[in-house]
Parts: sequence; structure tokens; C-alpha cells
Amino acid sequence: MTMSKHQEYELSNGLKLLIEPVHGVRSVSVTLLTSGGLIHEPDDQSGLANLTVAMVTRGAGDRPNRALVDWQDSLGLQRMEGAETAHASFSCASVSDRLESSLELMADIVQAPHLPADELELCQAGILQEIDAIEDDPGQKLFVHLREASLPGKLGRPLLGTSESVENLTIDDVRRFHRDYYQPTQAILGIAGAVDLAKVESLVERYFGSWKSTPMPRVVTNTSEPRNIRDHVASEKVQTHLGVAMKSIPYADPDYFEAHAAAYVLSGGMSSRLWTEIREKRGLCYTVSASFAPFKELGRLLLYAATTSPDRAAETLDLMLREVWNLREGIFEDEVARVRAGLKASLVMQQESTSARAQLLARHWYNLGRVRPVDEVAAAIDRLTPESIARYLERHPLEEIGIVTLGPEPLEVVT
Amino acid sequence: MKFEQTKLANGLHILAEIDPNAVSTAAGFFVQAGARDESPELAGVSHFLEHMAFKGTETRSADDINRLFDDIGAQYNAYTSEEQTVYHAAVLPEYLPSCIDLLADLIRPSLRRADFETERDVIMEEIRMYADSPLWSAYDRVIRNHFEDHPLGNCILGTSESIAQLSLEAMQQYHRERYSPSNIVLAVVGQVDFPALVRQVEAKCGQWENRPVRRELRSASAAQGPDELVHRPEFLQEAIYLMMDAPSSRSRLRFAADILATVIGDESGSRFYWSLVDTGRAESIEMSYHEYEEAGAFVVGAACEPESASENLAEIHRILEMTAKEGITVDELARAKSKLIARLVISGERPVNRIFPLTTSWIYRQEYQTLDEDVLGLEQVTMEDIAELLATHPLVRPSTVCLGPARSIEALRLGTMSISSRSPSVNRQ
Repeated sequence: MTMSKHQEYELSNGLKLLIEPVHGVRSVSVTLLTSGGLIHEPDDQSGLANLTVAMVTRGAGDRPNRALVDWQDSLGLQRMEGAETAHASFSCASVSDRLESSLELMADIVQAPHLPADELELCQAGILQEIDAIEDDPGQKLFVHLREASLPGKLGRPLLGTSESVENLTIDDVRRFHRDYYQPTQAILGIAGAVDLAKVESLVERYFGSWKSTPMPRVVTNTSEPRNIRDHVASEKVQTHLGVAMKSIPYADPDYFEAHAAAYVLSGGMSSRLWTEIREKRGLCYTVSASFAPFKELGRLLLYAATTSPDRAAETLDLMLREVWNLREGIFEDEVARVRAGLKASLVMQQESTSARAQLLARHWYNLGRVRPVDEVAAAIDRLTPESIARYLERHPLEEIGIVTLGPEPLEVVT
Repeated sequence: MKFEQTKLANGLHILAEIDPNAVSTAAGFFVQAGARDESPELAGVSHFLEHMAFKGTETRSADDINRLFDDIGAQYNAYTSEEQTVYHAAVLPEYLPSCIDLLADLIRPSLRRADFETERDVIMEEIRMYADSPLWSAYDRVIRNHFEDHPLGNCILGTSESIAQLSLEAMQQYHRERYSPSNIVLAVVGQVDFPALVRQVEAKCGQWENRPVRRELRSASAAQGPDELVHRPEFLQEAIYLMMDAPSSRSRLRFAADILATVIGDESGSRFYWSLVDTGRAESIEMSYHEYEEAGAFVVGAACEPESASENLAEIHRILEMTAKEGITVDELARAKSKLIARLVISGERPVNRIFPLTTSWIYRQEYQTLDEDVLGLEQVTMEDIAELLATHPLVRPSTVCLGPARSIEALRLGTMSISSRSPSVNRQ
């Protein structure tokens, strides 16, 4: 299995096309990112991005809802879609001789959805139940609250919206949102796998060349940083869930890999600091983690753990915070060696997955304005040292933004 | 792609599917020890032992094990199911020898008392985590009810009571009995030097003492377990689980069973999907086929609002009965094949995924099946096979559990009220 250098094209309507041929695989994957994410939702219409994604797949082009799904299944096209912070995202994986059908499917969905008025209510009913499912899943629910409390403006909105906001959305809202934001101007199409470069370009031109663009409403992203959030969500669960948000850096920051490495030292492997101190030595938790969550505008380091009883929860939170502050005291060379080994292995293994590659092509383009080549990533990983991470932590000290807890009883937080 | 296999004198099997062009290698020790091998007083021991495996050997501490795996950038984990405990890792090919050395250490842990007590707390947290989930809790009840007194109904996690009273000595005894090399398969997929691998495993594991191991294989009754309504007012959703008899892992009809489950209950585009999810009547519903040694089950799991649970359960019954009576259409058969084949081919591109179907086939059927043979197995399923499957496994008399806020559900036969929970295949991380 080997990868060739990716190719970049731009259609006359503005759609960016990124293709990465992979040799020795049988599959090809496509990811399309278009505007129409949470940051595009009107203030009082939380959940509109997600509802629109759910509606555009209910019939498109010359195929009604059921015919569309039957056709896709008969070809073995694996379709996935979802609303995200800044995009509506559509992906499709298939064996390579089905690439044309994948492109036709995605082109129909974004350009010519039927958006049937009589199915809106069914769709809303499904989403209202998904909101209930999150209520029943304390880990997920904690993250919804943590993001909402710690991210500014629409970045932190709950993806599904709230029961009230979803119920109030109309078919006109969906149609307007689709018309305003599902446009080629800022859309990105990533394709990776067993492809014939010359053929792909003309196929994309055939299916996406006539996608029209109109002026898009201006979007202002609020990037003010919230501070000192303390929130408790009362919930009749057995366990207490803890979430901490710290300030970190955005995706395009030159210290991206250092920020990633700092999170990895905390919870990248089973020898990581949080895992060792909280689970292995003390048996306080089954789950404990730290993850680097970079956005285009800003970044977060998110900590999470679930445990029982107020005493165990207080001890766990205390240890989590202590380990974060301990990063400033220095990181050992052997820890950084493990970070490099882990990140290197992930980088190589991610190349085995055409869907992971297609996604990355599109995400890099959005966040960086270019595709970061694998060699460059490998070199950046090799350059990680305890000193480079320490310098990053000096330049961007981890600041606590907030703590959110969920469980039967509130927690005394002493910091 | 080349297949190699050999058996050490002590019975340890080594399998390898070799792809010299692979950029990674996946390896796993598959131990035939799971919840079905536990007596009631040992409930949860297989899974607890899986956790203890990471606590170190005479020469390596738990920290050493974790650190050494992380030194080579391994993506590693372990899980326990009804029938096996699997320790697996994916690494860059040059690290395979270190990886095998560490995985082998996991299989021969020291089982120290202090670690046992600390890890007991972690297991208790895991049990509590699953207790907070309606779907897991319902699955745990339905498998227990469906298999009645058969050990396949044992709960993988055990219960907080069984874990609290489990002794270290009992775990040591269980380890001696079930972790015999003849009860273990080592599988490797990707770039691998097979002769070197065999030499290494011989040196590392060749002296492990072989003990005869038997699994109690009395066949599971196809009888229907009791229906149960578990009142859990703290949840918003009602979880519905049904379990029915299906072909066993050695049955010729296992491919047909996979296809039938896909036609009736795949996540998207299935009969259940169009009737219940597309219409907004349920949040989710899925039907899957579970194969076991000398047993099999169709499992249906759904989540919906408690108010619509009665109506939805009646609809599930209607679709099952209709399918049992009328079968499926030629188009449905073709679509299910396309879907399953695409999934198999795309996931099979990665050693980290391929290792599981490869080893399952070896363990259950003592045969090597290439990916293309698996594809062919699906392609060759006919309408007659589906008819035969429905004649022998007619989707009737499901064991049913509803768990959630609903106080009564009409479609249930004789609901009994009880409050409890817990549950299945659970990962270390």
C-alpha cells in the first residue's frame, strides 16, 4: 500500500477538489464539506443545521426517499452525514468501481434534495428522541453541557438543538438554510483511494460543475473566551461525571503538534499520566481522558472522568487538575518518545483507511488553507521534544475555563 | 496474500495472513475463555482477569507493560465476550516482535493481591457505568432470560455481588484451567516474517504447560424465555430487546442468517428502518445475528419513547411474523448482499479489522477463509437458503425485555416487575 501526492483542483463555481490516489486498496472514499454548520444557524434556530442534514437525504435528484436508499444499498455505497461546527458533512465509501455512483449520490443530496414538507414532522420526531437518548447517556450529556458552557457563541451549541427549538423549526426554515448555505463557493470535496486521476476530475466536473452559487449571508463568529464557569447538572445516575475545559490553541497554530503532544502525555496511552495516577494506582475510574479539541478560531483541552460517590469524584477532579498543572513542571524525554511513537503509528495506520484520508484532505483545507503532506506531519512529530512542549506551554499557558459536573449531588470544587 | 499456520507441541496455534505490502501488522491472542465458562460463583471472572492481565508479570510491573506498549506506539486493547477473551494490538511491522513479547506477557500475569483489590474498584465503576445505560441494561436481561440456565446467558461483567465476593485464589485457578496453550490461538495479519514469528513464540510460550480444557457445550434450548418489563423511571427512553433462536457458528446457514438480519433490521434501509425509524416512531432499531459454538441468536434492540413502546413492539412482532411467513424479496436479497460485501471488503483492507473474521473462522470452523471466500459465501446465498433458514428458525417466540419508564406494555406476555441491571463485550479502555 502506497500513497501518491495529492492533487488540487478548483471548479469554476469555487468547489475545491482534493484527490489522493492510494495504491493497493480496493476502496475509494469521498468527503464533501459544505457550509451549513452550527455557526450558520440563526440565533433562535438551534438544531437547524442538523435537521437540514436529516432532510436533504430524504429524496434527491430523480429518486424519492426510499428509492434513493435502495439504490445506494444495491451498490454497496456506505453513506454517512452529519452537521458539524462549521459544515454539513457528507461522506461515502465504496469499492472503487462505484466512485461515479458515489459522486452522483452526493451531488444529488446537496444540490437537488426534495425537502418534502410532509416528512418534516417525522424527521423532527426522530431528532426529539435522539435528544432523549443523550439525556439517558450521562457521558454524552456532560459533554453537551461542557461544550455549551466553555465555547463562545454558536461554537458551543448543542448539535441537535433543544426539544423546544427543534419543534419550532419549519420546512421554510430548512429550505432557506439549504438555499443560503449549501453552495460550492466554500465547499471542499476530498477523494482518497483507488482512483484514476484523469477520470476523477471529469466525473467531478460532470456532477458538481453546474452547482450554482449565490451570495452567502455573512457569518460572524463570536470568539470571546468565557471564564470561570462552574456548573452542576443534577441527574439521577449512579455515577458522577466530571468535565474540565482548558484554553488551548486553534488548528492552524504553529504549535498544533505540541498541543497535541501535551494532551497525549496526559492521556494518550495506558502509561499516560491521568490513566496511571487515577485508574491504575487508585482505581478511581473506569474512564478518564484528556483530548485536544482544536477549532479554526480557537482550541480547547477537554478533560473527562466518571466515578462514584462525592469523595471519589472530588479526589478524581483534584488529581485531574493537578496533573494538568504538573505539565508546567516539565515533561520527561521518555514520555515524549512515547508520544512520537504513538502519533507516528497513528499517522501510518490512518493511511490504511481511505475514509480517514478523504476526511483529512477536506479538513486540512478548511482549517489550514492547504493539505499538510504526510511527510511534513511526520517531520513535525519527529521534532517534538520536552523543550518544544515546554515552550508551547509558556507561550500558551493552559488556563482553566470551566468545570462542569453531572450526577446525583453537586461537588465542592476547590481550586 | 499468503496464509501460514502451525501448532506448538503444547497446543498453541499460530495463524498468519501475510501481506508483504501492508504498512502495519495486527496481532492478537484469542483465549477461549468467556462468560459461558463461568460457574455462578465465578460470574465476571473472565472479564476481571482480562483487566488483571495488564498488571504485570514476575519481571515486568503494570507500569512497565503499559510503558513498553506505548514505547512502540501500539494501538492495543482487550475485550471479553460470552466465548472468548482477546488481547490485541496493531503496530508498525518493525515492532511486531516487541508487541508479541508483551501480548504473551499479558496471558501469563502474576495476579498480585494488591492489584486485584485496586482493580476490583475499577470493575465496580465499569458495572455502574453500564447500569446507567438503558440499552446495555436491557441486553443483559434479555440474554439471561433467553438462555435461561444455559451459561451463554451469563453476564460478562458479573454483578457487584459476585465481584465483591470473588477471591484471588478462584481467579488463579480459573486462569490455570482456561489459559492453557491448547485453548489459545495467536493470529497475526499484515507484514510478518512467519518463521521468525514461530521461533519467537516457541521460545516465549513453548514451555507453557498444556492442560486439557473442555467447554460445556450442551445445546441451548430454543424455548422462549419469560418476557420481562423492568421499570426504570430515571430513564427517558424505553429500551426494547428481543432474542430468537438462530443457526450456530458451524451452520451452513450462517451467511443466510447475516443476510436475513440485514434485510429485517439493518440500521438503514431495512424493514424495521422503514417502518419505525424513517417514520419517527422509534429513535433506533437494529437486528443482528450472533453466532456461538453450538448456538446462535437473532437479537433485536430498539430505543423509543415509553408511550410508543407497546405499539412499536406490536409492529416488531408483525414484521417478524410476516417475514417468517412470506420470506424476503429477490431485490432485498441482492441489496443485503451488496451492503454486507462492501462492508467486508472495505473493513478487510486494514489488518486491524481483518484479524477478527480470520480468527473467528479458524476457531469456530477450523478452516482458513480468505476475504474473497467470505465474499463468495455471501454471494452464493440463494432464496432457497433463506426459505430453509426461516423453516428451521422461524423467528417466533422471541424472549423480550422492555426496560425504562413504561409501567405496562400490552404486547408483552405476562410482564413481571423487577428493578435491576448491568452487561456485554466490554473493552479495557
